Amino acid sequence: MKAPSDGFLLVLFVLALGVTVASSLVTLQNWGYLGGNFLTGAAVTTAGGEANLTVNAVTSITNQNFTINFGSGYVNASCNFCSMDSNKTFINHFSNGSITSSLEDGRTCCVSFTQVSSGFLLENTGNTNISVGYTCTGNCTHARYVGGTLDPGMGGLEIKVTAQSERQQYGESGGTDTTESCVGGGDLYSQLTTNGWNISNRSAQGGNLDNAGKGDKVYVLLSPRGHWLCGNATSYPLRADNTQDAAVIDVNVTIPHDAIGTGVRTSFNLTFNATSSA
Amino acid sequence: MAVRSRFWLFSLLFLFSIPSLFAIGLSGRPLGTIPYQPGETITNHYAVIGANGPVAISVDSGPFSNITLSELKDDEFDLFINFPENERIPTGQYSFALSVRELAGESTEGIGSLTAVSKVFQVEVYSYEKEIAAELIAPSVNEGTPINFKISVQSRSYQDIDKVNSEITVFDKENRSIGKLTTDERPLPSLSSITLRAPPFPTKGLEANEYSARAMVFYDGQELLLNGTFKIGAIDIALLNYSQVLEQGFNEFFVEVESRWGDVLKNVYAKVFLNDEEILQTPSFSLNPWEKGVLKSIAKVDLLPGSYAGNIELFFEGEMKEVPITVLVKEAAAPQQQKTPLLLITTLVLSILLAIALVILLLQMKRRNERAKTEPEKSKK
Repeated sequence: MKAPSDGFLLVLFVLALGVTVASSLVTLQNWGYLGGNFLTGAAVTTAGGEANLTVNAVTSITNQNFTINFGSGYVNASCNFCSMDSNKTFINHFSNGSITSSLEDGRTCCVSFTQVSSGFLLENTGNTNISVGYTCTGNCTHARYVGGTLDPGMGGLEIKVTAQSERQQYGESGGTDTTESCVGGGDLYSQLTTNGWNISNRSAQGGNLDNAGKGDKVYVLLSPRGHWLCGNATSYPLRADNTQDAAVIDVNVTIPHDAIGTGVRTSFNLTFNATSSA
Repeated sequence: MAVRSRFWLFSLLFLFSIPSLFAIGLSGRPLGTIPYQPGETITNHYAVIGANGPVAISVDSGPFSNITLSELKDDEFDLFINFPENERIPTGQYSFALSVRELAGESTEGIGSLTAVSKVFQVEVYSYEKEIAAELIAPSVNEGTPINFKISVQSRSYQDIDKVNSEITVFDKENRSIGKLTTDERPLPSLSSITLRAPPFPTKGLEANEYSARAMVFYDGQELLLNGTFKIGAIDIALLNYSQVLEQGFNEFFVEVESRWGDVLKNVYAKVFLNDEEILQTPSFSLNPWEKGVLKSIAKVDLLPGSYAGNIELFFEGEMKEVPITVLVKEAAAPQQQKTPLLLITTLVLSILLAIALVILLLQMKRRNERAKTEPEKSKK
């Protein structure tokens, strides 16, 4: 191969120098180190005219992860239960009563199942504030989805919400949140008297709201009929601001050792609904 | 080779055909609260955005019988809101919802998800009896300027009102009645608005202060009580707050003031004296009626730590007002070293390195050229 000529290299260097200086100047100007408007698209002349503009209200929700699949497997003979979480965690419930939590490496009870590292990442991608709820179709109870005998107090099939500013799951379309979402505050949350992702089933039925609001990061039973996750039909606290418009819904499934393996894959579908004023 | 290329092509096509995300949106002109008017039809256009597959649109019409949708075509459709002439919905606030949801993407294994969006419309059904909403407008004025009280009246009824008028009573700060006024009398058609006006209320002899007014609005044998407050202003300015703690050396000093005048107060500034010495004069600004503002300047304090008496002279519209103050002077904190912006250093270093590289290259080119000239001469020899 023929070596590039010195002239060509010189042109490249001059070009690189020019680009560096120009980009530095632009960056400096954007950062406010330079005064004036020497590099702008601002109009320098004006002319009369009439512009008609209608800004539409866009109600939009995006789910960056449309399925959670733990695959197939079985419960180790030395265990009573195997629990799996869509945040990469396996929970071993050993027959001797001890319970340990681990990632892929330390799982003992959940044999052959797939490690899942992403929950449903929901994001307000419109320009209006929204509320978020879900409904469920398919095998929405533990008995129908997995079956087997649970210990008293065990949920079996549960979901939780974590604000994206904390969960930091990859893939948010408008830049990862930096501020807790669903904290509309004031009138935006006047119906619930508090802020925060609220996954308590009771709030959907207008019941006791003592534990509402900061109900995020806590697993609760999946409701076969669904309920509100943030706000409700008249209060829309999930803002459209890119810095606080998303959350992750994680799922936790517990498989008892006596769950019958039918060989038929089981499923349910969650429909996440965004509601706004018209 | 051809087989491998085709494999990659199909793989790429497969990858691009998998939806990377599930989203759905509904875009349309915002309608706000819709006033219920029997016999009226509203049409609004909507577009479904962001959906990867087929969608279903639906409307939950609540108590309304004739809210329909056009066919979904190219992801767009119309919403028809018709309130039939003979339909009688009881007075109150109602809602109905327009929804669009994804149909594709249901998972047959694992836990699948779909998205849906809804827009909730609020409809206000007014009274079938005679009913109004009204507001007393009592503007603040300056000393000696008469006040023009107005009452804005909106019909909240499907019935016309034959006559609306009002009596306004004015009270001083101690709630003593200082005057009464009667507005004009006008009819109010259904779902319309009017403004009732009272004759000017003279303020001559009334001192600058806060006052209140109470209006009783009469409409076809019914009445509604309204309250309002207003101020009578004087060319004056009030000191609300100031920097009460200073450090030795240079400090930013603020003076928060409030206009007590019902017009713009121009040329407002302050001079601050401490221990009988002027330590600063602020730049001037203008204050809108009853507006608050903060005057700021830099003060150099050479006093020893301790509490000092002083005063602030407030200047406005060529007048001056003196307010005594007390300021605590503290020992100066250790100065913080200012950091040079990292970006500037990086840019400078990068530019120098590039410049050096350019010089070296130019020198090398020069040497090579000289060598090229001398070598043919040597070979000739």
